[in-house]
Amino acid sequence: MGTSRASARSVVFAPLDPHSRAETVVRRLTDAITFGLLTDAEQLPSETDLAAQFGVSRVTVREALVALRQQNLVETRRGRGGGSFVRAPTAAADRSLRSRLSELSLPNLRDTADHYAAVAGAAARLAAQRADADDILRIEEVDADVAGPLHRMERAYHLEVAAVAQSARLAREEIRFAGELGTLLWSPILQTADSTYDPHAEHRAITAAIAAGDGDLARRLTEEHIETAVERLVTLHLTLVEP
Amino acid sequence: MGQTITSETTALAARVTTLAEAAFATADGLRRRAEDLFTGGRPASADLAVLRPWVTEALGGLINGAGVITVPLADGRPGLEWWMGSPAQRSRLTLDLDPASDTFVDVGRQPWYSVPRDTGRRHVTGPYVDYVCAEQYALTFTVPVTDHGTFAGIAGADVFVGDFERALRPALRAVGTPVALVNTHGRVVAGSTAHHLAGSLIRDAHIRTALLTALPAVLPGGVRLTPCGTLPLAVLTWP
Repeated sequence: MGTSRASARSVVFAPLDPHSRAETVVRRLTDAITFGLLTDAEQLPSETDLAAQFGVSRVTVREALVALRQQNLVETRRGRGGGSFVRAPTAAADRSLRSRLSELSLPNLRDTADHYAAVAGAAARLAAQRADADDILRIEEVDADVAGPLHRMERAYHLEVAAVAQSARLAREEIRFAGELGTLLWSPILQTADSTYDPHAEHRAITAAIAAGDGDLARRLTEEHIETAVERLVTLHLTLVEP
Repeated sequence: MGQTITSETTALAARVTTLAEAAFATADGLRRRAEDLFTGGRPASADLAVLRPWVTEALGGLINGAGVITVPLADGRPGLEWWMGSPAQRSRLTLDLDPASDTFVDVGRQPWYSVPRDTGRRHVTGPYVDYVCAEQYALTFTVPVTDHGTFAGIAGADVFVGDFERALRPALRAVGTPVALVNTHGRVVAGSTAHHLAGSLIRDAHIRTALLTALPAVLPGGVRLTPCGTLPLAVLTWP
């Protein structure tokens, strides 16, 4: 464990290729914080040291730290004993996320995600067959209403689609998957890693297909919606476990 | 046109009405008990526990869930005394009422709560996937609970659609021709053919319009509509 953590840590601070920018620094540090390679309250190396280790300019490092501060992942204190400190997401959430990430095995993740895509895709297809105008309004309302973290919004959206599919079993599966996979699959970390990601736009497209009664399209869009999230998670995982 | 409704169809509509009115009677009994709590001023949420014997007694037969859910009471918390299951194996419903939680249930959004609140009248919700309570396909019969004329919550009873269908089966079979029990939105509760399974939606525009008027009608194609009393349910028969 100790050596793998040490080698994983050296990956975190490995030199970047010359084309990388602040964004890459942000991503690598964000990943490290989420995956627990950098722990809460841990002090980061100085800007000069970070710049040297990443092989980027101090300006780039500073830019990255600003972004990390905005995401509340880093806190900068001034004066004596000052510097940049890791602020892991809230302790409880962080602990559970970390312990689950440590148990993550790619074959299991793939299998769980395949099962989930089958459930959510089938729910979307049936919803397209069985929805009336009021049901579409309910789905849209849920998608617009739910505040808070993305995984909560995803849970509410797909649960409502399963309810509109008139399937208690698929709804129960949605509830189960939301607990098992949701916080991981829709972790904010995946979104910060991809600025083009817009789950609401994906939901709107699925809802439109359901409203149009196009079950095949609704199913395909839902499967893609989940597959894309899984791909992001797997890519992140692979980046971090690279020797 | 001018066809008469067969006595079997009338009998089916009457059977539906009897079952639904029995569920409403359960809900109404709990409503009276709940309103009694308000006579001496607004109770606290914990005071609803005195309803427990009546709520648990309501379970059994077709009733698979029953209870009372109120607006926030004297202590600022909503009252919740709702039980699920059978008399032999029952469990108390707990709802996550913390808006910051992942599994938060916004009761005010649920039709079984919002319709009695907004109309002041009783309501049949469903058939619908009840993911808040039993995670089952259900019909929920709710009536408003009032505190000196002001809405104070709902009392209700749940019936699983599968149980309802079983109870209607002899009357459905007796009709002979294709028949379906639907709600005013055209959602099938129970049917006698593979085309009209529970949960499917009648999309025929003539039928959908007629369902909203809730009057007996003979529609194009010989489809006949028989309302079930004053309930938002109707029997459709095809020739």
